[in-house]
Amino acid sequence: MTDAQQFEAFVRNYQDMVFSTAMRLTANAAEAEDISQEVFLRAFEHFSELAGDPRAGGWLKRVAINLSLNHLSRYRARWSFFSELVHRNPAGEEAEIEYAAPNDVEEDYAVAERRLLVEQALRQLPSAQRVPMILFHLEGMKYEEIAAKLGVSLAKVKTDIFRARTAMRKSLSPRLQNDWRPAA
Amino acid sequence: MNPDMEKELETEMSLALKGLPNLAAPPGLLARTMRALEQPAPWRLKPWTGWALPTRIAFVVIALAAVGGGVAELRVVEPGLLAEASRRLSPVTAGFTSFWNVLRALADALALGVGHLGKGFMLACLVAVTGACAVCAGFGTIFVRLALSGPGKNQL
Repeated sequence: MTDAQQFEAFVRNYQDMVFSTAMRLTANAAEAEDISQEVFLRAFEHFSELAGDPRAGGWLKRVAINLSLNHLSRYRARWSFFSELVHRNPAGEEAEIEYAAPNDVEEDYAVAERRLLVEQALRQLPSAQRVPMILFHLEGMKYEEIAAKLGVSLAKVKTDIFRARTAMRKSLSPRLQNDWRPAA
Repeated sequence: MNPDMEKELETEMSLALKGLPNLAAPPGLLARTMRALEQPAPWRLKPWTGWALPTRIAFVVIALAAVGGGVAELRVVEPGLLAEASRRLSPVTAGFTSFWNVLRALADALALGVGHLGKGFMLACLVAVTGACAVCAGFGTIFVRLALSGPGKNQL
């Protein structure tokens, strides 16, 4: 197997994970695709170390998170102020959500539908709430780590995550059954 | 909201989000990544050792010619040329000298004023000017942050 073929297999193996990370943080498919490509271009520079390393997934995820956060803070802030004066509909551009092939082909339709609703609810959150919530719940980061990563206070992280959870509950509860709610 | 309800909300969201599988990457991602890798970087962005041999040879020849030409040029400079250049530049340097003299006179006047008005008055003026600068800088920072963050959002 040539180096190019090895790298192609590497990209194929991790592309869903990298894209998901970028997509959930940016909530924009085109930006997530650009970020994913950049992640793999960087991975190629370190491919001799990453190939066959079981920690490669963690490295890719870390780079994807960092690039997504850089992207959000660097590019979006420039135009968000002006664009929001004109257009404040967070659900304006809905891209179709497609999951990676499930392991169990007989996956329950209700579960798939519930996941779709959760993804949509996530995308409708403002990035200031969505990003810390994803870092906490999906990436397993602690409040302190998130505050350091985003350069904001611990209190702000907690408030934003709380607001995000409340908004998610409000958005999901009318449409979902209580099957994922903990027993009272 | 009380801590119990907050905990319940956290658990609820953890359950909702934990089960999310990976999204499918766009079908073109692999192809465009491989294409980007195959695309050669422009020669000027590569390190010198990565340039093609003819380009490297041409670069060395041009660099040597430029250095050699410069040295040869210095040798043929006439001795009187520097004196002539200095004579031609004298109006400009004279302008700088006048400017410096004015600055020195103003500084002397300021020192005289400080001696006459007293240190307390000058200190109060200094504090007022510093305070005004701080207020300007503070408002400037707030306005810039507001403009960059947008309404109701942090820097993300």
